[in-house]
Amino acid sequence: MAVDVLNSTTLSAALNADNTNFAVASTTNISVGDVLVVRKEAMKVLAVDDPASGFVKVRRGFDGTRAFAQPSGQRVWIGSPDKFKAMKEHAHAIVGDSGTFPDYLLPGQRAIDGAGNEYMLVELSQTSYGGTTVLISRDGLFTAIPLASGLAGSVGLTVEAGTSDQLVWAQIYGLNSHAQLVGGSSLVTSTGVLQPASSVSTPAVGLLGLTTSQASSVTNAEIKGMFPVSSASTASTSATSATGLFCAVWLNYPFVQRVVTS
Amino acid sequence: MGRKIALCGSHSSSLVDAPWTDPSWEFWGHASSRLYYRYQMDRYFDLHPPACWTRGGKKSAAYPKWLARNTVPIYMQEKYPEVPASVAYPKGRILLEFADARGYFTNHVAWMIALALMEGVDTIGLFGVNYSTESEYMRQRGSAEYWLGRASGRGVRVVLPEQCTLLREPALLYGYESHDETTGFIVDDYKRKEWKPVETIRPGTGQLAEPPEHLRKEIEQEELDYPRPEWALGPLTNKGNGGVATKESNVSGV
Repeated sequence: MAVDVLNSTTLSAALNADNTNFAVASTTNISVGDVLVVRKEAMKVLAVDDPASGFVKVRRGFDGTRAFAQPSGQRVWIGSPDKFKAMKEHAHAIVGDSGTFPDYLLPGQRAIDGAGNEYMLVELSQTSYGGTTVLISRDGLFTAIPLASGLAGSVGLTVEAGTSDQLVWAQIYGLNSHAQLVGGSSLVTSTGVLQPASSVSTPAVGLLGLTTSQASSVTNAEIKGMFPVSSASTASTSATSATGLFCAVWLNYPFVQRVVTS
Repeated sequence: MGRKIALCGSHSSSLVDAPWTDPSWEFWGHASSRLYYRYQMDRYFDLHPPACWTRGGKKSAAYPKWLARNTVPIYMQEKYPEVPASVAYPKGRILLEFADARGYFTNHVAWMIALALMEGVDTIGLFGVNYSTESEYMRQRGSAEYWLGRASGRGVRVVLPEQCTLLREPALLYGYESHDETTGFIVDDYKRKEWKPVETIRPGTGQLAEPPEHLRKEIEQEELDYPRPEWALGPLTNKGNGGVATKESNVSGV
């Protein structure tokens, strides 16, 4: 089950390790008692709009972390202690109970499960079901949208359903037995190729499977590092899964190069 | 009110709360952490052997020069001619004074507390001292807590800032609060804590799965034909990974 996203803002000026009152771009989502996480440092919010609007007063180096100098413009993740705890519990459910989870999971967190599959925590930009192939943003926010023709970037495969502005885990390495395909073709086999979906299904699942001969005639970028390892099967129809096709895939940190058109 | 001694390390989160402007406190600190301190200490300590403080190394090449011109008493293993302000730490007297105790001195704080107890002290505060998480500092934590316990047992008031996790981690009472009442499993507070914000969580062995046999050559060939762009995610061990930070331990102490 996905968890709601963390709010975020940015630092309005650089901080040294001693600054406890400082300005952020917006205090809208910050409340007393919240935890701010900036890079590797957690801060506890003691007051908001103190001494002036846009300022927060914090305890630096909270909860065993260390206060560092922080650059202006640095992303500030905002969450209540309960929110961070929920994110941690959620990670346990996905990758198992290792006993060594960090206290503050942020988007972009990576994790390897007991079977050797690797995942990344991403923020959904729209409702997606498990098995959706998504493009992961490179702006440090790790937002994820269903892959579509013409997009380029790093790719993951969601392993749980979620709605817009929720955090879900996306697989980036290893075997996944349920990569959903845009409906309409059952031609993909273990020797086929995978491409960004050229048409939007409902819900968007991001992935188009083709035979190698089909792929040669389609002017669309191939997903590198993503290999079908089974032929397509018909997906089950239920409230939580798309109607269409799925196949098993092997993921090797997939990505799509920018499409060059003549 | 009595004698109050603030023992200072370099952990920034609680060093900021040291009573810097209160003249009723004495300040003792580690010499190599001097740049973290707002004011000059009343005493410095560096009980490392000369090889540690003459070679520069992690204390920088400026450290021996500072030792040579410093005028604040600095407790060292011996009185050294190249360190005019050095004072020989009374190790023998300390071990004799506390002969009933184990020789459990695994950090500077332990030696500093013992010296304070021998001289007489009413309040000891620790600022910038945490011995948290990993590396050598974790191994040193037990001794710091042991000597705080010795001090407390002698009636000395122990002051620890909120950020300092010594003597309170885990905070839950073992047995009564340490295990989930429903499942019987130990609660998170009792599990090992790590601060690895965007590094891979590795349960079990943490080894990545091997690709299917029939795909290995295809994967190798694709990696040759289409080198992974700098911006693309990849294995953490050998390339950039979308903003993943390098692990940096979250520790400090004296």
